[in-house]
Amino acid sequence: MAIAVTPGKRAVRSIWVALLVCRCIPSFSGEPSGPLVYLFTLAPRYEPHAWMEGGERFPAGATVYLASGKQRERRLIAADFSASADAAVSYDGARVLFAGKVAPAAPWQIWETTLGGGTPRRITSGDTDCFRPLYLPDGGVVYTRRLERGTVLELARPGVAKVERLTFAPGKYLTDTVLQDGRILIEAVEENSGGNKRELFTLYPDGTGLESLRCDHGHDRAEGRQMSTGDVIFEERGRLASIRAALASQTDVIQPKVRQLGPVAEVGPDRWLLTVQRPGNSHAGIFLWNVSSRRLLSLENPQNASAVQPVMAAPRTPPRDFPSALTGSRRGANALCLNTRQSLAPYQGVAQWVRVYGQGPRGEPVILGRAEVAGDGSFFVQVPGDRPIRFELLDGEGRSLRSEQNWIWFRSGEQRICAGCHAGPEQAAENRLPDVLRGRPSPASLTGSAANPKPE
Amino acid sequence: MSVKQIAALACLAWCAAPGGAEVQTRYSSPEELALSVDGRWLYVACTGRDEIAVIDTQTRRVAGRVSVGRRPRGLAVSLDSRRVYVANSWDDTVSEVDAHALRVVRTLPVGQEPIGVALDGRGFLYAANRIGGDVSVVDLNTGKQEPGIPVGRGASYAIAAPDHDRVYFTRIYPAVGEIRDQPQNDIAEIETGKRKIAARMPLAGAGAVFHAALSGGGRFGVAALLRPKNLIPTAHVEHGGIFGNSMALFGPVLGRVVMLPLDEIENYFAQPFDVAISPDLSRVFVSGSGADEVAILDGRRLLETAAAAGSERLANDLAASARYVLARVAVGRNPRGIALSPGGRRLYVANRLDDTVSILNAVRGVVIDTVPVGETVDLTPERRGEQSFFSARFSFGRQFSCASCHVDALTDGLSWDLEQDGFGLDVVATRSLESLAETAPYKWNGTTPDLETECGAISERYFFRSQGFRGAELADVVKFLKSIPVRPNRNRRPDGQLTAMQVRGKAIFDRKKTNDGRLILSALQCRTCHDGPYSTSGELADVGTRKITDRTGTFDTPHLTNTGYKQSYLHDGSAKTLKEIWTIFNPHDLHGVTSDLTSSDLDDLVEYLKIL
Repeated sequence: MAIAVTPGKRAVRSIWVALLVCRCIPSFSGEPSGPLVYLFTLAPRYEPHAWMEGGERFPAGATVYLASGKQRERRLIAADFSASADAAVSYDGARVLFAGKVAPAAPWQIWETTLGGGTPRRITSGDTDCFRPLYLPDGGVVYTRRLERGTVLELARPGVAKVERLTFAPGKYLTDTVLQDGRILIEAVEENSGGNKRELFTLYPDGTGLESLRCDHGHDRAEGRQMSTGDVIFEERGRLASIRAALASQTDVIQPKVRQLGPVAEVGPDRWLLTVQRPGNSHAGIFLWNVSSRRLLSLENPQNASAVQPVMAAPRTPPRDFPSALTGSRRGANALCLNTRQSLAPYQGVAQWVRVYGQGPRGEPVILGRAEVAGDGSFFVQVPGDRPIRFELLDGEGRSLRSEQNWIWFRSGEQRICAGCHAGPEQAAENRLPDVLRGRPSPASLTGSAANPKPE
Repeated sequence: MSVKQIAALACLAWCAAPGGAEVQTRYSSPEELALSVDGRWLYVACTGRDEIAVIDTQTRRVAGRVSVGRRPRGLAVSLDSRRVYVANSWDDTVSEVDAHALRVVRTLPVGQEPIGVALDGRGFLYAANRIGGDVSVVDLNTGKQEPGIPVGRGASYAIAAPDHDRVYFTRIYPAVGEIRDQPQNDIAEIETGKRKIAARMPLAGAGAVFHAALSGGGRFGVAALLRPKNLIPTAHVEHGGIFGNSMALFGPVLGRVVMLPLDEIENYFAQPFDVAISPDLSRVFVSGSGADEVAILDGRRLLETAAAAGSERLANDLAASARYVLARVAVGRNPRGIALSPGGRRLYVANRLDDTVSILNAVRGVVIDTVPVGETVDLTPERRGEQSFFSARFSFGRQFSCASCHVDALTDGLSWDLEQDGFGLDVVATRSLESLAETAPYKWNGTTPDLETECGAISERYFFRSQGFRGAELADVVKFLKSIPVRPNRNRRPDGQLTAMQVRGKAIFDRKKTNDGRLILSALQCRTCHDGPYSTSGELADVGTRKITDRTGTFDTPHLTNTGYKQSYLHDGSAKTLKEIWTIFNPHDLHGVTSDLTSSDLDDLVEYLKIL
């Protein structure tokens, strides 16, 4: 159902200023042979980190434009909106998702329109902000919703009224992209990191399988995008870096010596759209970067506004669908650790117990129970699903050997295996029957229920 | 069914054609390659058309063809390039081909299902026999077989050392102790002078091992292999959760065997199959038959990595391949055999399911030509299904294909802990896919009504963890499965008659009374469950084989087609031989009444079962 919207004064002013600026952009030599067709967000002010503190990324409004043609004509994607941002293009290149405000005081909601123009269709509802939408290959839309504290990820499926929540631990999550293997790449603020330190995580579209993309843990990783090579390019402290499919640690990226602000959009092999902050200026522009020739060409360079969030408006190969194995028939989730000693940061001592914490009503850790760690370092436990949990390893005296710092979750019905504790995604498991699965195995119930067979 | 009827059927099966619904369109299916010593002629074993195609590497065209036996596989070229030998896997023979006249000059009998062949330069030919589990040695002067050399189940691929003093053999079926023990495979080294096994290089954790290659000096070898994760519940695919696509490095230069991965953390190299090593050791090439790619490795870095202290810990390190994999080059579908030109400048790749040979500039790592091997024919649904079956593109990260477990559309000889049943429960043996079409229901617990369900929703949800076969692709895969040809049954006599043991075994199979005259309940008579054209009732039955890990005691009644070729028996593969079904796993006479049978009686019964 289409909803009529009225543009806010502030947004109109932003658009007006921006368009004036854009018309002043000089043409330059070395333009790519074919005309680029891309979307971007124009904003008088851009505060990329504000979402982590519950603030507004575009405090003076924003507008999504489509740039196309040899002269890069610009067209509004959501003309009747007070503000628009966060454009994402469908795999067939025909539709666009965006976050939009129908009025300055209205919350950001997710909308969909066509690249060719048309009446936007509202995807989300509610009185809280929803932003950073992404298409899933099956037509679902995953996005970020702001809560009173922090954010959550949600999934809206076509034809399904109920929205599905994908994250179940308190924190600050932000949708980045959908990877070629079908997982969602997100950034999340690591708790106890002494600030808003972000890390890249992956998640299946049913909310299972949460894990960090790499365990080398950077300084502050954000705005990850995947290139056709499979490399994930992200921003870290104003510089771009890469995580390659073959490597366990990040690598450097050839880039211009300017401050990088956000996501990279791949134009073609070795040609990217970059969002860079202009020297001596708080505003950002979009530039075409040729990695091979190391040439940087200005595309969107407004004087009094920032051009950010470049997205190519072209069809691309969708990832394969992810078929969820959650059946709803299992209560809680099963977690099998093959060897607690398998770790990038081995602990001292001998783990004899694994303790699981849930979260109390005020957010405090609550012990759900503990289970034995087998002689080979394996354990097999049932934990509550769709709730925040933490693991802790204890020695025979009950002393903590290693304790998780962040809350994680398992989905109800999820069955998950870890090669070790902080083993790293590069570590494949040795093909060995874990001791906890000998005999007729059943998980130790650490769901915090009265039926807990292993109370402390 | 009378003895005569059985005999007639047996004769038909052996003499006329393979059983099952043979696909009418015959594709070339180039599978193995060998080059003449000067590199001018490329011999291509066309498994689908029972011939060798000869490609002139100068004109890059097929210059001739030679009809050989059924299902030709491995190739070997004599040192003077005058003879080409090809293993006819369905005929249990090796064709000796005059390379100039392009005609078969001799047909040499070898063991059961020869796959790989090698020459030792002393006038002996070695054939690795998959079903026989041994190596046939043929004196090429006389054409006579020497005593065979037992290598182990699934013996398949052979490579001769450059000095011809050694021939190395690999196996696609690992040795398995108890069903939940780690699979153990090895590379067998046969000393050609003594024609005995001189050494076995153990490969702990290796499942199927395919081709190996040796460096020019013979001091460094690389074998392509799979490292299955069958003992760990198949809960997810990431982090090499189902298979490690790997290789074993061996030889005097290392002094030990080191296994290293070909996979990357998020980009797997499914089903490495064949290996070639450049003369200067600078490059190693590996075909990925499920990845549809050839991996190009830096030979020196590979050797350095393997030689370094602690390299044995890299077998499961998915970041290790970045040290030595230089590139992956896309080729055709299901690339199998590869051959490197003598100077190392050209690499030839047999794209089995595209009926082509790719020619790569081995220095630059690019495909420079693609040579059609057979006539251009339209793809049948069965062929399209076969392409999907052998492709890893349906699994998460392209880690594996159906053929990773169902090697050559048969079995891997392993038992797996499939996650949909719960962790550590309902361990089941991989079933061979021969003669599958009319034997519904499927899966050992009989819960899958048809192949569409098994190959569609179940496979993508619990195996691939990614969008699998749907719509037309699914229909094609099912058609392929129903068209898988049944291998000839070697246990049947060519004249269709039963041996004395088989006659006695049949009497036991048909009996309604025990040896001491007691009536056998109908439910415990063999034919009650194992009757009909596929020797299965299609019903579930409790034959007392439930294990502590099983949630049910009733299992699907398996068909008995080519049951003698199966690698294990019972739902979980706990019986290593047919005889063990009764000597170990039938203490209460629930799987037929057999307590009154002597060991000799059981041998007779087994001999009869093998011809069904």
